[in-house]
Amino acid sequence: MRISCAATPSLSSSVASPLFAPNSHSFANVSLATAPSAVRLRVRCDVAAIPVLSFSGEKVGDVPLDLKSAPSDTARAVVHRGLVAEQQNQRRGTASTLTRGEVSGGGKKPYPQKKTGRARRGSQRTPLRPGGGVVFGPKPRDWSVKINRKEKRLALSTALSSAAATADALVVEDFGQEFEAGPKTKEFVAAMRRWGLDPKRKAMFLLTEVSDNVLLSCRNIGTIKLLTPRTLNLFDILDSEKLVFTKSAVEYLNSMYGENAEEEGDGEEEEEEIVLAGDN
Amino acid sequence: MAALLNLSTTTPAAPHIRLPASPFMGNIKILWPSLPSLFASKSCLVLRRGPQRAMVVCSAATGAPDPEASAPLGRFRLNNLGPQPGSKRKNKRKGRGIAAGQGNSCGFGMRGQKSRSGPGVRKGFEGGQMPLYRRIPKLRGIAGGMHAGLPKFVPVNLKDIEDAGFEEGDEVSLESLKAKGLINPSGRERRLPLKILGDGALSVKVNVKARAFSAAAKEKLEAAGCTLTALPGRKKWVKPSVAKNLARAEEYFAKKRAAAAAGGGGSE
Repeated sequence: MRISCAATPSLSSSVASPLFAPNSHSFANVSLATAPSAVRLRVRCDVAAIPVLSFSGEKVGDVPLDLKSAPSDTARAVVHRGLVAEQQNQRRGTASTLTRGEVSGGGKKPYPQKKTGRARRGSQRTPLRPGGGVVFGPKPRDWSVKINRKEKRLALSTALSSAAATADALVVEDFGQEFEAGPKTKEFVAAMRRWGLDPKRKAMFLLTEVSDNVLLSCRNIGTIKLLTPRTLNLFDILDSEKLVFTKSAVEYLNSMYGENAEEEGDGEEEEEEIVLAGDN
Repeated sequence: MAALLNLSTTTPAAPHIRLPASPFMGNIKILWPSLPSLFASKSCLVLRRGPQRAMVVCSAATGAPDPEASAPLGRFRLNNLGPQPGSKRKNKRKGRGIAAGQGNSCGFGMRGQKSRSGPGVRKGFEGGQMPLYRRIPKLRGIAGGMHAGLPKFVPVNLKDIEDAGFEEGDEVSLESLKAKGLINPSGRERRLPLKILGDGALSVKVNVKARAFSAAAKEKLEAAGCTLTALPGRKKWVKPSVAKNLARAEEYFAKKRAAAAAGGGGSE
């Protein structure tokens, strides 16, 4: 059935019956005229306009977020792979248990094999006894998996653009100077309320520059993740209910994960990954 | 049938999240809460055929439904991700009861060495009979050390040089032939010198530089008017002390020859 789907554009338009028309993507980048096989290979680029809010919570404009996004039939799997790789690479793999051979003691046969009238025993440290070894316990292990760099970035940008498409993302004007006077968590919570964020629900802030006072103001809010491009990661994007960017962060995302960000970002990204690994 | 042909790879419900196949690992219902109402309004029939694909047949007589207007948008969260259908396979669960298929002997058959834990007999073992890998001589020739049969040159025939499209006055050497792609020495061959062989004929005048020429090639090349340069062979390495002695001897004999020549010239 798939194969017949991948017919020439003219054929597919000729069979386009009133019964059911294929779902066109909500973004005009992929035209229906292209064969599905071609669509599958292409990476879509979603343009979503994100509302810009001022510090006081009024809408002052829109900013386009124009990110690469995986084709809809693989997007879910791409994000999943990105997440699994990210989570798995964070594992240190240092859990370690002692087997019966490694637990100290237990070398001597407790009593002779025969003539005691008791069950035969060869060691004090068998897994059956308290203080004995662990059967099939964890041993230090490398959990890391490889993921292609482009795929990893695509997972992140797909997750971001899906959030932007569902209006879970918003842009706020740079609010660093609002906290010049000193850190104040109460003010930060009030600002979140003005932006329509629930301080009890998880939210992710992506800023390119974080002033100390902003950091201190939101540090004690457990639901908030304050990220910079360096610490931007897929888990927090998926975990957070709302994503909040600054304008410069949106610019960064567009330049890094946008349609024509292929060449310019490569070197930078490598550098970033190393630092990220160190951070985590 | 037209409706089936018309199925796109996406479902009409969400632009991002595809209706998954059987190894589904998330609750996709939460993504489009208004799904039933959407279908009810368009009087659609949802069929699920087989484990792999959900088929949606709509009987609305209108044209393409506007997805932007009707489809609720899904967003990827931690709870609705999953691997690509068909990309993961569950492990065999051995020893979990006879009804489970791999229960009783866990695929190890009945009795004997191969049914025990551990690897069984080693590779190539033939039950004690002299195995194949020991029946056959390990090395060829005189214990594998016969250099006599190995090639000592990279051979190139005249007809190949002719076909390679060399211009008048070009240089034919190991490097230029490599550049033309005529030869591509690899491994041991990379250290071998060039030898020109005499198959075919050459019509262009080229400068040929090679370590060796076959007699036929030399004849033909000279007939064609090419210039031939026989490159010197690699010098045998000697110890520095020996090299010094050789140089001294060379110098001494050169002087002697010169003296003899001068003396001979003087006497005449």
